[in-house]
Amino acid sequence: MSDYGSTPPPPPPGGGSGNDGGSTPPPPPSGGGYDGGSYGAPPPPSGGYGGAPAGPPPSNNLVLAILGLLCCWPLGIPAVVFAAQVNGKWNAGDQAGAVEAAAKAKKFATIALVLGIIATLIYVVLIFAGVLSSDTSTTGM
Amino acid sequence: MIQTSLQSSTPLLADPSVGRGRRLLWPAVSAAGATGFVLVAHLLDPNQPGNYPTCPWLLLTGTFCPGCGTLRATHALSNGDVLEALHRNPLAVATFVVLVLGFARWTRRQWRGERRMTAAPAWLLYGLFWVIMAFWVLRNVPGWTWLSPE
Repeated sequence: MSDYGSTPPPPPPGGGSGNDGGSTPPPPPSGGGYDGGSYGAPPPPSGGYGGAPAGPPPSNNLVLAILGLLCCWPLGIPAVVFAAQVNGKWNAGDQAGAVEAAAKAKKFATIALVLGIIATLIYVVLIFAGVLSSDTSTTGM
Repeated sequence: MIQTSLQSSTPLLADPSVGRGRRLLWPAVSAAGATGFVLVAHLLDPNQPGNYPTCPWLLLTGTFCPGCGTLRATHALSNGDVLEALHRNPLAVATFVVLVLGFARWTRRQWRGERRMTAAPAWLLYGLFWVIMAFWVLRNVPGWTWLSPE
């Protein structure tokens, strides 16, 4: 690798000055010497910053959050935002932050879903009680 | 803990004591639920009034939420009418495609006993969020019914 890394000295352009200082001494010793014991490259990918931690990422509860968004948007919006934060923090190497955001997303989404289900049940009961008419022209969903 | 100490480029196996049948339980439940949803939407036509109650959101606010038209889009898809489905709710159709692809990946992982080792980039999720919110607003713009379910 170190051999190919240095560009071969270009042939003298004109051919007039064969052995003068125009052709700079090729730099292989400096480049190749360092590359042999290269410690610089490997650490960044496996290190703390920038890389995702090893192991499986936490579930971001995004599907739950989107369902919560449709049930009750004031709680569903923070749920989706927290779900997105899970992946952002995980991919940046913040394992604890990702787990925390996942828990928040789940909490908001669950509350939104429960509220939505309760509202739907009340709604269905009202329809069966005849308070609301069910055959409006549009069916919504 | 154990997973983080092992460093491997290949996906790690899930708990080997959990058998394949148990691993495939939730994919099977999801598939059954989706099939039931499509069957109901196919057999009980949402285009006829009275078959389903009006969405509470639509009843209360008079506006369309991002899910509005999903039943009718599903009904159209079950009849093979993609254009009609896109007309009713294009976001729902796109969501179905993503869900089917995700289901395939999930089921394959569960079948092989692998763990998910990657997390989608965060901008994709934020983008999805803004797409949903924009869709919500745009389909309620007065006089512009291009994205409306009607």
